[in-house]
Amino acid sequence: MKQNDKSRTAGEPQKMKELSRYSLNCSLDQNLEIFRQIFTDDDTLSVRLFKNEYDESLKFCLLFIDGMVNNELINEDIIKPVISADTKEESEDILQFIKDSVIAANDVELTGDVAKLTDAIIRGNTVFMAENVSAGLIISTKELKTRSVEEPTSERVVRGPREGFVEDLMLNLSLIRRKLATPDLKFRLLKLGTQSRTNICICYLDSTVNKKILQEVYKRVGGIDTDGILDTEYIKEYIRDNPLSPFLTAGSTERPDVVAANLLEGRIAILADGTPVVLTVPYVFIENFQSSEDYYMSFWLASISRLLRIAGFWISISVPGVYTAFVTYHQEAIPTPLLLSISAARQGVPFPTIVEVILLSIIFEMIRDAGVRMPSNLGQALSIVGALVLGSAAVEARLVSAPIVIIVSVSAITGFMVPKLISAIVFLRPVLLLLSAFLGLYGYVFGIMGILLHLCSVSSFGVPYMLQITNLSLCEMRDTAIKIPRWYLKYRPKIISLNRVRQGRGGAKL
Amino acid sequence: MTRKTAAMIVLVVVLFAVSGCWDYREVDKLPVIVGMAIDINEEGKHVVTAEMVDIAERGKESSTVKPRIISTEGDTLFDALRNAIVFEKGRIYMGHLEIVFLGKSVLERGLSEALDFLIRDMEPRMSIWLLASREDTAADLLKAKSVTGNVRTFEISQMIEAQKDLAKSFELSINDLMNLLQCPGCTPVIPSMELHNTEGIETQAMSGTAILKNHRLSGFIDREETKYFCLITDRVKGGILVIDSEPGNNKKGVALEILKNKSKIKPKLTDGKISIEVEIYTKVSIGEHGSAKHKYSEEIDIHRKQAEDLIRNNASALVKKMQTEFDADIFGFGHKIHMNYPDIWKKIENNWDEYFKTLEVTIKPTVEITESGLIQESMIKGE
Repeated sequence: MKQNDKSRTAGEPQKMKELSRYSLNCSLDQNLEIFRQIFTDDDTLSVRLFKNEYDESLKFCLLFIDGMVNNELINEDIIKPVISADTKEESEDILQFIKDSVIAANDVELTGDVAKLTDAIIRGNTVFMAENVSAGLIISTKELKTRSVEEPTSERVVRGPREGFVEDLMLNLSLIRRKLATPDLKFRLLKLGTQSRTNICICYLDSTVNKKILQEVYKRVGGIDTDGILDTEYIKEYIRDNPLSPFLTAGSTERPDVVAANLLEGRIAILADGTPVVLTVPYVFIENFQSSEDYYMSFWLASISRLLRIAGFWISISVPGVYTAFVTYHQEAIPTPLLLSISAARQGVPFPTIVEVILLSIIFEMIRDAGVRMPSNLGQALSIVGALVLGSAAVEARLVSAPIVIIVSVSAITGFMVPKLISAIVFLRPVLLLLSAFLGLYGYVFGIMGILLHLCSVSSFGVPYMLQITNLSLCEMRDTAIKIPRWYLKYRPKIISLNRVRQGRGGAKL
Repeated sequence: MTRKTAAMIVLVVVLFAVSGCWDYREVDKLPVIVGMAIDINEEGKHVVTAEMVDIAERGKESSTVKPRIISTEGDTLFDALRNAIVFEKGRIYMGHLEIVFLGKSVLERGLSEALDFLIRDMEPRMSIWLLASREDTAADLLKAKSVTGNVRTFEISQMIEAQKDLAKSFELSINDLMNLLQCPGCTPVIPSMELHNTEGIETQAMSGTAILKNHRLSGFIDREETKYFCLITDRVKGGILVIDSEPGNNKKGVALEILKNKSKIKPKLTDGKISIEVEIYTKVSIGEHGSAKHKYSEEIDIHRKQAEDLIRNNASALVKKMQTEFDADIFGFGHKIHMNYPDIWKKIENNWDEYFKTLEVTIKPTVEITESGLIQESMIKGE
């Protein structure tokens, strides 16, 4: 694929601009000197000089970077045929002749542009030059080692496809293409990052995408001016709406089936070379509670799971705050036996309830953060230390009361039900806790009101974040907090896609 | 961040931190009382005896609840309760108060003195059960030991709720009493308690009903009479009616279990004269039949009549007693007249007490025996 033609570089990097002052001339030695200057202090550049066996005066040269090329291809399909080629009659346009009749490679380009040639070398292609010619051939010899396609560890499913994206952009695109075999599927490539010059791909289905949203995506992505893009999260932070909000306004996934499903609903996917994480926009609130597995199992189970996840989110952010409010302000609202058992558990605990909750919450977050980056066998030891030693020992030593351990655990477990909202949960939980600790249930209610107001004010690429929730239309609610059988899902979500009919009457059991 | 936004954030945080927390109370620092007895001593001071729950440390892991009785006095109820801080760790917390015993001395001086604080203050719940003490002081009642050694108030609270299966007493919360006090033509009643000797242990027992004519104690009726009071006022959800095994043989032998009861007080106007008709519909089952020879199908009608007579006689006797001895309309007949015939009520309202004495009351019981358990006829044949 000729990426260079289609690229829309946001800002050509400084170093690459400088290359335009070089120009090739007829001397092979001088041309080599140019490239040696460009790659000063870069010892990975390999230069291979050789001659034609019929015409000793014909000197050739190959430039490539060690480790990024397919050696067999260079030896067998470039060096060998060129050495043994009978070039006597074609001495006038030797490169064109070699391109057309000698080299057995699928992608060869003739150019005299030093910048292009340099770019080709960096990306693992081979540049072929000859004496007396002020141009070079770019031969596609790229061979990069990639991880094999495996199930992504962050999004495991029990049922459903198990393949996940890898770090190679082209392989990722092929995974999507395999799911949606239609010319309607569009891949637009561009380069981002003045130093990393990462290949980015914006992917959509032409007939279902909302063109206004697509324009907005191009505008925002085009506006990025930074030195390096190492992960799609870099792009996400630049382009997402309400960048300070703890709620995500752009989705990310490592699963091709999720991307394909999003494309089918009219969403746009943004892929970057070097990362298996793919962005999908627009992203609405209810997507946080949806899992790809919901679509691969019974709709009863899927609906119940979704409702549980939604409850889990609110419980996770509320439980510490509500407990603190009840125990320290609204004791009359607790049933008498519970009040007495809480009171009994608190006997001899030296800290106020609020300090206990904050203390244990912080310790829990620390255990979680330590566990995430630990090797799995060490992580197990950590959870034992965290759960057994810290939990029960702290209660026995009367450092914290037993109900607090339960409260923090419940809030932690329910938090794990919605991994996509973990940032919101980690941020909102202490906010609600402090509000409740100062103002009791009033504070908690204020906090929840604030959260709802915020959620209703957020939008993602022009689509309201609370789409399908604020709108009480039965048709729109079919795939939100509940999921109804597939044959009822006749329409795509409003606003996201303008071409709304998803399936014909023939396929629908209505 | 500009200086302005920084100032805003600081102000908001300070606003919450300074204005919040004013009623922050740690749950383990609360002196929780669950039961309270109010008396007035010879000097006219309010004596409050309260059952407090303490957390008793037992072993390392488990700790239990331990009752403790405290006693405090003051010029008024509120004063007496606040005076407890002299020896207690803080303000007495009444958010979980479940039962209030009202002593004879308090009831004789009038309800408002005892009730005003409980209703006006924000802590006590409106669902507190009220009980009148039949002993000399309410404190005697509260101090009586629990048979099991647990918090006695909780047991009494459960006991009150279980009375619906016996119907010899009834539930009365502060809220219910307020309704009775506000209703024209009602005489307030409060279920009463006395001490009862169970195998050498003095413990509390339900003992009928206290009648508060003009908001002052005028007497008590016993448990059996309370049952018919409950029947007339539609408070019965269960209970037992015991009748003779054969009509007129004076051998109480058949126990009927009340399954369902519905009573209606209907004022009737005939020739400008108001009379009351009480319709009592009771669905019962034969719970016990000690007689050796009986056959369910043959005796069902006889027993039905017996039960109807029983209800009619006892209920009429209770009404008569109220009309002659107490002059107290505890059934709320006046209230019904007020609701059905407001014009007539306006005329008789002022001398309702006199009117009540001669009011004609008819009891119309309907008993339905629907089942007899698994037994159709006597187990012992040919006796």
